[in-house]
Amino acid sequence: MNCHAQVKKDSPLLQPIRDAVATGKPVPWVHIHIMPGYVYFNHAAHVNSGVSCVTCHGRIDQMVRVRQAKPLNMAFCVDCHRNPAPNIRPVQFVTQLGWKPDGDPAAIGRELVARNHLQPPTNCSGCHR
Amino acid sequence: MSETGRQYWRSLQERANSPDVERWLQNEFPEGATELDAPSRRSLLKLMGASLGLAGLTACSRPVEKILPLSKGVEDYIPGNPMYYASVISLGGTATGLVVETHDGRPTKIEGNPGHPASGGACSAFAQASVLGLYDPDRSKTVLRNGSPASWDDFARFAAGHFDPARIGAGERLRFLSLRVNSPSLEAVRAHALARFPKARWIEYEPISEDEILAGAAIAFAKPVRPHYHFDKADVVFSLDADFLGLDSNNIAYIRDFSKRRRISSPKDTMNRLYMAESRLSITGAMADHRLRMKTGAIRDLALEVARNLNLDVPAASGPNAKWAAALARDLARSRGRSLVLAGPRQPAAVHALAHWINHALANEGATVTYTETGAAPELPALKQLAQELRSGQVETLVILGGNPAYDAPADLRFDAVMKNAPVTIHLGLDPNETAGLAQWHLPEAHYLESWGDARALDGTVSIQQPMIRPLYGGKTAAEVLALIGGYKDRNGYDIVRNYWLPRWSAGDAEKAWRRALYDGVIPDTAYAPVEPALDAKRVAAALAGTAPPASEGLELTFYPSAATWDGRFADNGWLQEAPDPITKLTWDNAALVSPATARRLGLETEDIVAIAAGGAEIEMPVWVQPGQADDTIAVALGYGRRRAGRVGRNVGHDSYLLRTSAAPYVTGAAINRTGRKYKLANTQHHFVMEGRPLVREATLEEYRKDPDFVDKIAETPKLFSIFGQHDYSKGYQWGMAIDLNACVGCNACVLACQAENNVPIVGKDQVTRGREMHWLRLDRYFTGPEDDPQTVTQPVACQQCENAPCETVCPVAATSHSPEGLNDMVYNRCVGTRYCSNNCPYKVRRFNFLDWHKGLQEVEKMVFNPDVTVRMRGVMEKCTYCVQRIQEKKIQASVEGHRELRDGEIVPACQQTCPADAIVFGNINDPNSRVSQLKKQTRRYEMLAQLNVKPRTSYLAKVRNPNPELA
Repeated sequence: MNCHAQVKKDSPLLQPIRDAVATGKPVPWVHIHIMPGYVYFNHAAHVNSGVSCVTCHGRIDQMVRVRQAKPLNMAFCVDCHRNPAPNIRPVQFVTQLGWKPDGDPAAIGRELVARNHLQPPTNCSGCHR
Repeated sequence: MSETGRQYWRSLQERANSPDVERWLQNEFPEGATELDAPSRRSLLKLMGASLGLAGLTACSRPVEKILPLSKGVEDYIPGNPMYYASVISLGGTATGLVVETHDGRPTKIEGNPGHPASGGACSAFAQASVLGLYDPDRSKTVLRNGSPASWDDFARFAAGHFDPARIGAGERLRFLSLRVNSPSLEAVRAHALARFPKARWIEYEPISEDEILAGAAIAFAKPVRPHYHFDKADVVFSLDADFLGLDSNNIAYIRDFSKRRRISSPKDTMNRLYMAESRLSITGAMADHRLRMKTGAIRDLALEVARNLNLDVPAASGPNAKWAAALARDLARSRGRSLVLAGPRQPAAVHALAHWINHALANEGATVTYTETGAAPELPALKQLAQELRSGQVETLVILGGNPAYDAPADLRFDAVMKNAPVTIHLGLDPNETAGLAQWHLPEAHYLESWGDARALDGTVSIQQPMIRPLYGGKTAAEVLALIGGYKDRNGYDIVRNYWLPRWSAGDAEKAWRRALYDGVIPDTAYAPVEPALDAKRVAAALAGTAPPASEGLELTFYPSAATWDGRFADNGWLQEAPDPITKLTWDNAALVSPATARRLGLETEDIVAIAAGGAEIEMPVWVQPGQADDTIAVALGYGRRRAGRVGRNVGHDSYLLRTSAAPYVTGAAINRTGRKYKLANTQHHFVMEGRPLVREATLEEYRKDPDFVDKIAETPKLFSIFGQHDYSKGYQWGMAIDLNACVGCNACVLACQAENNVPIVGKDQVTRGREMHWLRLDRYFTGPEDDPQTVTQPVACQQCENAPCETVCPVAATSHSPEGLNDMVYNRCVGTRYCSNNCPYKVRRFNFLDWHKGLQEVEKMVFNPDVTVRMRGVMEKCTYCVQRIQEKKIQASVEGHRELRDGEIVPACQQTCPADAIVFGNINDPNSRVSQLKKQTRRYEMLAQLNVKPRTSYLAKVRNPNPELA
């Protein structure tokens, strides 16, 4: 432990982490956003293209207990892939989930899509290989 | 309803309202499980239907999945991203540098190391398949003492007492038998052990022998030197039974260098010319412009004829090939300093010496052939002496470090029997093989991917072998075992290797040099310095005069290594067993190869079982009638018929070692008798026969120069148009591929690489006979010309990614569609298995999972899977995807790195990556400067079945041969 040796070092909510450090067993996180095995999803491609966390995870920064906020089915993904502009923001604001741009978000997104040549795949092998 | 359901109905009638039923329904379908009165099929169906319908709504109670991260992070490791490590593989005493791709701490894919002189980025079929050997469920998992499980501690205690110098003295009765050693650190441990036991002896033996090569050089130069060939500098090559592109060399740099001189881009270019004399059609013979098929024993006379034509003072010889020999000699003479003559391991030492003499006379030394000094000596005499000592009881302790001498030592030595005379036998091996079964102690060996070591390439360049996973079964290396026995200062592999090399870098920053060596995969300045030995022509002449030509009546039997099992060590490797032999296209078996004429004379047909008698023994084998085999000869592959092997390799093929004696380890006389019985052979060459259409196009260099557009003359393609609107592919990346038939030698490396990269399953011998082999990439081998003496061409065929793909239009569920970049996408999760797509494919490149090929797979076997590619289930179609996972990986990487453009050569599919001949090139055909675009501009370019207007993205460059006009 680095941070939590100092920060909230007695909090009962952090007991799983202390146990993991003591025993070497990993913290068993419950997997919420589960993609089926035949979907190959790459997180880095989305984050680095300007898709904010909030687009797929909702206001996860405000969730005490994480829940799945969006359906994450293929239609959800393909709808955005076919029209990414409304969901693209400058990369530096990707982690600011409450960010509201001055101006039309779709217009900003369109400009970013054009500038960065963003071409989210809409063909099958984009995600299914 | 499924079988379970039917069975259930039967039990339901007997056990109405049984709690089992309730529980089953409760678990599968939470609602509607309570009513179960007066069961009848109809009411049950209604009930099940309702429950099934409700199952969707109650999906909120889906099972809870846990993610388990590492509790202690590994440096540089990001889950999902592969890590690459440099290592090295050794086979037969020569090493190839590798870069190994690992996922989540386990090796999944082998690639060559671009910085290694032998590799240049490529690696062989054996290297590609070696990753499967790591996860072999039938590997040795435990120390065995007299067949019962024991521990390394037990062995250490035993060794401490047994090898105590107070007890064993100077080791007069101690013998070490090892595979060929090309590891500097192991040599150091060996030196220490032999210093401790000065009277002990160290014997090295591998059944695929180099003895004649070394003996021949020793005759010619009066000292032990090894020849190194530089095919890229040779205009004319004459091979005396040396399959240097295939099984007679583990140095794939030969393929790379030879192919460099084979590739042409315009009629102005020159090509090399290859002459070959051999009895069995090998892949080198298949590449030859002129091939003489003749008995192995008769090649000596041919060499003498050629030498006489070059005015060397050699004994006279005459044969039916005077004209051939004369023309060849003239060709060699015209290429002084740019020609090369070499002999193969089955030729006697005198022929090798003669080859050196001819090279000397042609001033080839220093250009196409160089020499290094080596301490290596022929192995067979030492092995014979060891067997003699064992027989007479002179050996108390026999330590066998790797290998399987009880199986592959010459049969007359009776090694399996005499081994038992030694009271203490210790065998270190990867699998519990025949030798392990006879040894008192069997120690599990560590695979090269899980252990530390170092290895020399043929030219001397050293690479560190580093593990990527802890030994799965606690195995140890030969160095570690020898260190234990000899009391070496270091006991574990890491220390042995590190403490060998660090002192050698004491001049500079040794730690930095160590890390650099691990990163680069090569230790700089370790190649042998070439020597310039003086040829002693008199010695060669004397040796030639001393050897009488062998008796030529009767049948001649030659042994050759297996393209699947090598010498038998890879018998348990299913990928290799199922990869069709490059020439015979046999899988899962070896056969007695005979020529069509000989078969007719002896009344033999393919699949007839014959009894072959040679060397005082007799075995039964099926016959395979092989075009190109020399008349009155039989060729049999070694490395089959393993009795003590795993579930994959046991009893596959027929053990030809039983016929091999120390007097005649390569060539011998034989008799053959029909038994009247038949044996089914699994052969892939009759699958995918494409009925005489010009799939392969070829011409001679002369014809190509006269008419550069010859490919269009061979097959007229009509003006093509489509009644459908065509897609616009002028924008963005458009993927395409070019395969140069001049470069491809048919070595199978690409087939194995594709299998490793894409989780392609094996199906077993029975299913191969039904045409169900799953290789996404296959090598089609075609013969042209007379059936006894044909020419050969090999064509790699995979999904052609047609722009107008006939498979896409017929899929009823749209499981295969076209990507905007020109790929034909295969969506496994949509496929329902109608197989209409495969029906419509004119190239028959789609492979269907008729059965669940992964049924019963052990957990350890699943570790070899590439997690970036779906593992397909029964009922799903699959095919080559141009390695779409690699394409996407690089596109994502480019996107993450600032949305940059992809560079040509950045995306390399597995087949291109491993090809030693650089025959396959993939790239963006919309980029006029890409390599693939340049190749497609050549006039040799054609597409298969272009007249169908499917517009394949894979183009072929027609084969051009370079025959000697004097021999036309």
